[in-house]
Amino acid sequence: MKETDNLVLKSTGINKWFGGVHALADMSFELRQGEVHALVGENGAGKSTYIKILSGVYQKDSGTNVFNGREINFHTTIEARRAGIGMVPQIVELAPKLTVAENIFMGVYPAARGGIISWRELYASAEKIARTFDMQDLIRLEVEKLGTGHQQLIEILKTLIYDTKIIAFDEPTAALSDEETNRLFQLIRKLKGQGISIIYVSHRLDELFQIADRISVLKDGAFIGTRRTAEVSKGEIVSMMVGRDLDLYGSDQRKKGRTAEVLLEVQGLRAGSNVKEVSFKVHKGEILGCFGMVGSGRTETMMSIFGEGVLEAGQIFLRGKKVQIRSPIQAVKMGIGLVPENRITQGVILIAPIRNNITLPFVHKLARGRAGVINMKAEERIAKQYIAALKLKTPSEKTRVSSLSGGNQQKVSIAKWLATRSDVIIFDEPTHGIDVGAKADIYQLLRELSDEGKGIILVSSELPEVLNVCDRILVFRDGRIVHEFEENKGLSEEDVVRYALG
Amino acid sequence: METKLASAQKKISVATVINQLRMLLVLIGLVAIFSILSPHFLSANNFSAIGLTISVIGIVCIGQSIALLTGDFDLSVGSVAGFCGIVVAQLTKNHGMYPLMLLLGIGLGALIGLVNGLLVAKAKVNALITTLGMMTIFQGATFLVSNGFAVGVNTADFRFLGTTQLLGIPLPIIILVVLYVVFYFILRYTVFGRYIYSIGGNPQAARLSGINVDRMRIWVFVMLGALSAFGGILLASRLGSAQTTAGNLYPLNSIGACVLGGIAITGGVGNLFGALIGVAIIGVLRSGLIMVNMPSYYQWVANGIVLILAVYLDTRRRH
Repeated sequence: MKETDNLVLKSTGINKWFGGVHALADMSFELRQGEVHALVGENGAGKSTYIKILSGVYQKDSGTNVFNGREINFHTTIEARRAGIGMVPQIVELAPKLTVAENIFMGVYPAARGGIISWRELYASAEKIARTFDMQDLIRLEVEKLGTGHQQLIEILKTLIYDTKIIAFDEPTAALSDEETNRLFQLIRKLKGQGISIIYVSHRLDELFQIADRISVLKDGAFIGTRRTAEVSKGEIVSMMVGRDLDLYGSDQRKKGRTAEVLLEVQGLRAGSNVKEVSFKVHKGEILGCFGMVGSGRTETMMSIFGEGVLEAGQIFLRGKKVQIRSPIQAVKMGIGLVPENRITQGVILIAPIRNNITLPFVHKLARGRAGVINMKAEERIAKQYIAALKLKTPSEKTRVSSLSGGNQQKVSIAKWLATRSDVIIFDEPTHGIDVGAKADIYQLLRELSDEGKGIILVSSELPEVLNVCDRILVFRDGRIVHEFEENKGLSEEDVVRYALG
Repeated sequence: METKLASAQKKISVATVINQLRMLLVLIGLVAIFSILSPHFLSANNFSAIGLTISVIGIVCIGQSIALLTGDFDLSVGSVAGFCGIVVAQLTKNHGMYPLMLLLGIGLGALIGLVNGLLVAKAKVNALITTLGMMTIFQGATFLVSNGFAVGVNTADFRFLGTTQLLGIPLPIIILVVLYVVFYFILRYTVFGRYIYSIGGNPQAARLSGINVDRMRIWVFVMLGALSAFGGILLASRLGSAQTTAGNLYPLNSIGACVLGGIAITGGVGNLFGALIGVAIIGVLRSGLIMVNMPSYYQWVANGIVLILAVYLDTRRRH
């Protein structure tokens, strides 16, 4: 059979446990020579775990991985790289003060006898490798002087030191702009042309259809199936991922929705280098979309409204009354909530129970008149109420947030502000890195909140979600609002992107 | 999925309990070993002596626990205890008016804590450097105030707290237990306690939830200063004299005891019950080493080993 002739990798019956969590359950996978094979699945499906096992970060508990006819079980990433399997991690970890060449050879410096680094050899080899991507002129530059896109290329170059057969990418475009993404795709095609096989892990279905030859779906640590990209639809992949048909954006069934009453108004906001001149209004019951590229000043604008970061100029009005917000403490008191961009570092306390997270902004109210002692019964009742309202999947309200999936963690970060009964809630990339099931729940929730008369701001770089969920759209570029779409009707992605790119 | 989460969750809480039980076993094991090595170890008198010894470091440990839970720590606890002990002893010796001087001393400790807190939380000077600096400053100040000599005070009121017995139990031990119960309750059930754990768990998320993180951190240092001062004064009261080097081992021992008892050096995890077990382990170790006639300098060696071991165990727990 031709299809099995050029297999470079065959995994069967792979199991991996992390404590009580069965991360990979009899997982199987096949990779052909010179193909780009995408691996998709919801958060926690086991994609990252699998490629980390291949590249020596983790060790499997059972099962076999056969690579070029030989069974493999690497204990370090360097061992895996030497054998020809490299990985480009999700988060680029480089030494910013060292040069590109030094970073490429990190850990495997060519050394003369006595452990003295042979700089000439290092730079010569680095130049040769960097030539693959036309980066030979950059190898003596300090890494911190490069952009995110280039930094990621260094991670790829690292994998090319040895005679590499397989490169696994873990969510490579998460931090990249569209332009950088396109460039990455060109490079991946180039690597593929050299006969290298690519395993491509990503959440972003759209880009899989641009780059992948085949797509395999994982669910709860098990292999579901492989499809040729040319012969499958996005909907089919999604239903394989979630095990059901899913209408991601649902339908808008709001009864009231947007009204004329203004809840929040900002005028001439200026803060730092990224917010130059921003004015807008948020109406009661509306979902206001703030679209723009990463770095266009959306997050900084929201943070400065929330009292985080120094406001250099501008005025903020709440229900028509001028207010000063110097810190999040005041913002919260005035009825503003913010679901921050990064749920792990800013949104939730991972080691604390769900309950403590949900009541944190208003827990002092639960102790009013009780000498500072929290009314635990009331707290439990509130936590349970919002766990149910948000369809948060958890065994109990006492469960630590760290043991929840990404989507459910995000729901905790959101539940906090619902329970606080904030009037204006800012959502900064609320669906970033969470699975489609949780995404659909969050879109539905945004509509329910708007129908309850809250003012919702949705900051997002995902156009489909802005176009499908928002009533009105502001486009940010270079710290300013460059366009406002008063009505979100019949807009195409191109209409909006045009303004965002300028 | 749900059952998987449930079992993972159960594992976490079980792990916390198991860790505390394990430390309790270590404690019992140490008692057993020293009882075999020394015929005098296992006696009511000796346990009462151990209780007295740990009462002061135990009080300092309450403050250190709160700081660690918030994600901070304080190396100046020993100097503050020593300094406030000396100052109160000197003032009482010169002017009498002991109860007032006691409050003055605690207030002085709180004030030093306030300076620590302002430097760490507002001026954003690293806690290691701030409290290391303050440690040295007040070590020096202690010598300056006392000219390098211990200050003996033998009045009845000055010695009341340290030497009184209630139903045969020394008062310092009762004070220690009461303070642990009170602070255990505060940390577990009050808004103050909730903020402590939240800030230690994720200061960024706590601030974005509208908590005044800076103010809380300052308060923690103030409490820590006051508790350390009280510990130092209690020690002077018990010994009838304030020693210049009284608190030298407190910074290491208090952090070691807390971490040994399961309080994470990274903040947000642990409780006071664990810290109390940690303190008891250090007390038993100290007493035991003396009983088996080890030169007292070995205590220093043992304390260093315990500290590193405690942090090692803490690190392993989290990986």
